[in-house]
Amino acid sequence: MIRTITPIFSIIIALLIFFFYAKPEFAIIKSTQGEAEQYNDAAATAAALNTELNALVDKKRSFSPGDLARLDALVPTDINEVKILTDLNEIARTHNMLFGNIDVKNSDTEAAAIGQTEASGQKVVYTDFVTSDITFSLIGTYEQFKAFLGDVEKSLVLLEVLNIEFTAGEGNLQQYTMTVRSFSLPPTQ
Amino acid sequence: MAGFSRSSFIPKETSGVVPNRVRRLRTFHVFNFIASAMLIGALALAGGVLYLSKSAKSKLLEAQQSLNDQKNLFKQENIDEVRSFARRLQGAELLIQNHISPLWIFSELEKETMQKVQFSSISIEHTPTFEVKLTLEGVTPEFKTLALQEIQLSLNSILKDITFSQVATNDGNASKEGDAASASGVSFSLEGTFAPSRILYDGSAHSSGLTASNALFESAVLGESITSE
Repeated sequence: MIRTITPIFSIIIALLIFFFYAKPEFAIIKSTQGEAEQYNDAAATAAALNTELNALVDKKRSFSPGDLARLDALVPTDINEVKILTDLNEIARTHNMLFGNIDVKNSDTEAAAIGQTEASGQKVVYTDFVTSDITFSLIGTYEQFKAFLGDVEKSLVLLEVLNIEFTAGEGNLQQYTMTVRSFSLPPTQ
Repeated sequence: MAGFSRSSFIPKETSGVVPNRVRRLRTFHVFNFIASAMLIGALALAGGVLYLSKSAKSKLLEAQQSLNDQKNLFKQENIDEVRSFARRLQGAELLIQNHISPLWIFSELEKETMQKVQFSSISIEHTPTFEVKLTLEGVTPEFKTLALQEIQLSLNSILKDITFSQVATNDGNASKEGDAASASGVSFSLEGTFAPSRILYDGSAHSSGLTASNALFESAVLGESITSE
């Protein structure tokens, strides 16, 4: 009787081992191996990114202080209106023009901050900039005005001309009203 | 012969010749062997699975550790530094790419304006990345010149959507007031748009006067010129 039952029990135990331990455990092993593979891939990607990041940091640090200063002037983190006005006055003076009737309007910095948060990690768009619109008047000849305009448009502190208005008078001297926009890109939060 | 062909030289087993006990015993041994083999196989499989499980878990831990090591190698200040720098470079690129040259407008107008046409007032409205709207008021001695001016401007591909309006004849009395706009002849108003892409700053001087001013500008406070390079 025992001789008959023993193999049956053996088969039952073998089947139990197979179906209730080996098979489920094998599935877990496969999943663990897959997970380990994913971690390895992630580690490899992280290593590659780290190398790339270090290369970028090195590249950034290889910029000369002069170039970095030019970038700072072109895209400052905040707008120094007083300096811009002083510079504009200086350019006008250089071209023997009278400079005055100044009006400064700042853009909504909160809206720009929201734009930045939304655009964080994405490409910079125009709304990310904080702007300041400076309106002023100039008195001088047309040639002087063109020379002034030429200097403004190639200024390193980028000034985008938004509006120019003037009316021809009798003499050579005319009054020009002009609005320029300056930009700054505050750091992301 | 017929008896030969029917019978075989192999002795036929008659049922009951082989004892039942012997047959059962042989069957039982095969069954027992299969059962034992299955049990041993299952146990070996379980051992293998256990080994694989431990090995997989250890590999997983190793991989997690490796990822953590890589993660620890990242320096937040480096990421911030590069991100901020990239953002500023992108910003600079965007500004330079959309930077217009108002001098282009004046150069184009000077080129395209006919000798007998005199502009008395000008207004340039620039919406960055969108368009540059030009409004001009002027006077010309006769309608024919105005028509020719319209043709001249429409041939220029830089200025688009040109509209002449408020065309009126002025008598000579108005000119006594000294306003150029009200000089005798035909006064008109002109509106048009420049596509910003056509008047982008490219670093070149658009007038002879500018060359002289460049030298002066070298010493100005703003100092340096920008180019799109």
